[in-house]
Amino acid sequence: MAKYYCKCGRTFQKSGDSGTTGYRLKEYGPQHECHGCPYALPVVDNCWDNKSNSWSETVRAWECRTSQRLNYDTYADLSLGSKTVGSVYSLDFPFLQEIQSFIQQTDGISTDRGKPGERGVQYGTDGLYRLPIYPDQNKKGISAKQALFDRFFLSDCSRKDVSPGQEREIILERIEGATMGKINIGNISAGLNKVKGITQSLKSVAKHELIPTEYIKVGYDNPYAVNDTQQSRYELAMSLQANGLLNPLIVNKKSDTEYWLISGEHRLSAIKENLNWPTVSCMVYDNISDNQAKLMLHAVNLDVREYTTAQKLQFYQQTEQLLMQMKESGEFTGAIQQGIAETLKVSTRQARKYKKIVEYLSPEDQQRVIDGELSIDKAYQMTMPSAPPKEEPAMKTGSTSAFAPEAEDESLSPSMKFEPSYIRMSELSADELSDAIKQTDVSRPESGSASDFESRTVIDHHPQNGGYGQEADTETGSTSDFDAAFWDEKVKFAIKKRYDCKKLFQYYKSQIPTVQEAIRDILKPDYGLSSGTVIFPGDIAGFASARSTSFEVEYFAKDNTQRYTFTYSQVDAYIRQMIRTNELLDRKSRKEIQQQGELE
Amino acid sequence: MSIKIAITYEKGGVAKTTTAVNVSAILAEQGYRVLLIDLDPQSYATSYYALYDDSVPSINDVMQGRVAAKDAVRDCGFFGLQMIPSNFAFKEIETFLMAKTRGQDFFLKNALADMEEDFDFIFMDCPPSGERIKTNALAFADYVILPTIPDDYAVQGLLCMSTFIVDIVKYVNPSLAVLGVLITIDERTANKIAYKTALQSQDIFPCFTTSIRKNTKLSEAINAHQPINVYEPKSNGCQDYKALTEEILAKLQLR
Repeated sequence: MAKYYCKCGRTFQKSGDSGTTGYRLKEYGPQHECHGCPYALPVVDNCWDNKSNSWSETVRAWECRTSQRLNYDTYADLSLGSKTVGSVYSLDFPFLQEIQSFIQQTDGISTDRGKPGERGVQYGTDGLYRLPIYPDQNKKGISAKQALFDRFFLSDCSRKDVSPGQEREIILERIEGATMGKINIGNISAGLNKVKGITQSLKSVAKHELIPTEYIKVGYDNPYAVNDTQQSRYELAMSLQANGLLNPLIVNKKSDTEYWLISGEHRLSAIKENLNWPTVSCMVYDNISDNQAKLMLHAVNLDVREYTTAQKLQFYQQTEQLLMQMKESGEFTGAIQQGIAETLKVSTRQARKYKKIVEYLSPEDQQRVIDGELSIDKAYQMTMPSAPPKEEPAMKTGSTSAFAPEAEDESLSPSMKFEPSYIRMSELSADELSDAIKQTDVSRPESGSASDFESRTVIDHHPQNGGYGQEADTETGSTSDFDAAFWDEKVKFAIKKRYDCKKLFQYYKSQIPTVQEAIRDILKPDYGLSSGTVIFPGDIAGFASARSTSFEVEYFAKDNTQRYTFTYSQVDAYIRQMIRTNELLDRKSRKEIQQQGELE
Repeated sequence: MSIKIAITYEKGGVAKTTTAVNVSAILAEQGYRVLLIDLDPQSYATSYYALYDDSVPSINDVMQGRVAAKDAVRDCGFFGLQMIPSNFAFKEIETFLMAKTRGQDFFLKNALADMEEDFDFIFMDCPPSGERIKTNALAFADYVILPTIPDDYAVQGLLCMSTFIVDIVKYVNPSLAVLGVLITIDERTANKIAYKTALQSQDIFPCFTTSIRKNTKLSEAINAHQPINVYEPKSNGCQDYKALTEEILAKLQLR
């Protein structure tokens, strides 16, 4: 066994002890790892073709001519001064081609034609290829050989243009360049992008520095500073004088002489007005984006100053706007509501309530929430019956108000006036208000359920139901014989029996779920099917099954069995309706649950 | 005050020690007062200068408070380059630090606080592994140099390193800065060229324009226990490290 070297430096074992041997490249083609390597050469069979009277070449295989020793350095063996045939040994094919073309232009000397390395006789020692140099058998030949040597080689027979050792690098690079043209640059940059992602968070690390007071500017609009007075600033200044600045200010470095304040406006103005401090201790962020700074301004102020959940409502819109802008610019990724909740330090549920209140209530009402005159929950309830007008298919033509049908209803308090985008309830006292809500709620299904599915259309257009109305519509479309007056009652009854009403009530009230969430969290059975017998009023037996995709109600009437399959979004709509109309739970249980909630 | 530079990387064999040893020797040759601290229990920097000796105080004793830093300093024998050696017993430092409930990241910093006045540069040769000792080095350092071989491990190593550095900057040493990624054992192969280009054109960390070419003289110099500027000043290795030193000085605005 002997060890043989490929030109790229890889080795393999083979029996025998010849100087060179072919390493067959099996299934040589574009997929082969050595494809493109200049030293992967064809093994050619030459046959005399009698028909065309010429040699024909067929490629039998591809191989890398390997050797027991491998040397990359070119050298010349020209027997200068004699007429003998000389040789140049090299692996650098372009260099050999250079010599070939020199020979072509020079009289008195000749060599083989064709690409170097392609013919077997040219294998030299130590893995090198040999280019033979044939001088003319006269003085001209001898001097031509000398000229060749002087042109390309140093006196020690090594190459002029490349130093020993360097040639190895050139050749390896050439092999790798040819075969590893497959280097995936995308992989590199993907990897680097990951690194970038990690280091990005470094930008949001502040450094502690002393900043000249005059460099600090109040650049960002600070809604939190409105309550600061000269008196409060003076008092703060006195405290700062006694205790020093316990917490550094937070600033965003815009330039070497400009730092925009993120947190500490009260302290800064106290210092500027009353104390002559040349420098202030600051936590410095290095040129973060304005949006991020503003967001931080909210976050730190909410950390330091105490706000009730209701008061935080005033910061909702600004925060939402900021986050939307940042999402567009790619600075912020993730759910907006989640981001708002984190910034304002409230639950996502609370953030969702804010959203509804901001969307559906008048600025006056919002202000009343902020001032504490109206509780968040009340305000949120006020948004419940309201729906954007364009989503109301039951709307009568010619009427501009979504609630025109109700407005005409005599059962409504005359002081109730609805406006298209929000309800103006400010004129009502709290008691009147809740009454009014109840009245609207109760009146709606009654006024709507006169003909087949209108009641459900109303249900489905609760703002939170969104696109689910359509599903219900198709449902009705496909079952034209659906008797809403008959089924409404039955399905509500079945729901009450099938589900734990208290749990439902608590869940809907506390989680404020979207339809999808409700279906996922509570409506769908845990194990694919939950069913059981239901005895309907009038002692009529029935069956209700909560399946993985639908809710099925069967009603065993005397002569024929009625059955209907509801979608879960319909079930959800029924439940929401029942909660609004107080059908789901009686007054006592509702009160119990509410008290529980307050205790928690 | 001295400028403190840690040389660290998650991967072994990327010429951390070679870089630490030679850059500090070249700076010393230029007249700077340089202290080299070997923080690797395998003590390659120590043995580079043939200073490995279990019987003399080492960085282990300094960090554990048994010996004052100035008593552990030894002369390397070249251009006044000073060194706090390491020895294999230093591997116990991880356990020692682990048992400390307070300030385990700042033992090195506290132990060497007195030395800062005496030197212009303090170089720290970090081990490839050893979370706590590296944290200690980076808590003390002003700058970090990340030597890396330009291949796919470089990207992976950089990923780990950046996670580590982000943690350090956030929680331990906010003023730590990456002086540069240093490409070492550079060769003119297509693969390395591709990675080198990618590393030099990224904008995450600065990258030194000087790269250290693969050079056998650098390995021979280890055998001779001499820095490359003494062993073979004309070699590519020495030229590269001299160019790197110049670049470092320029980055620190000392040139």
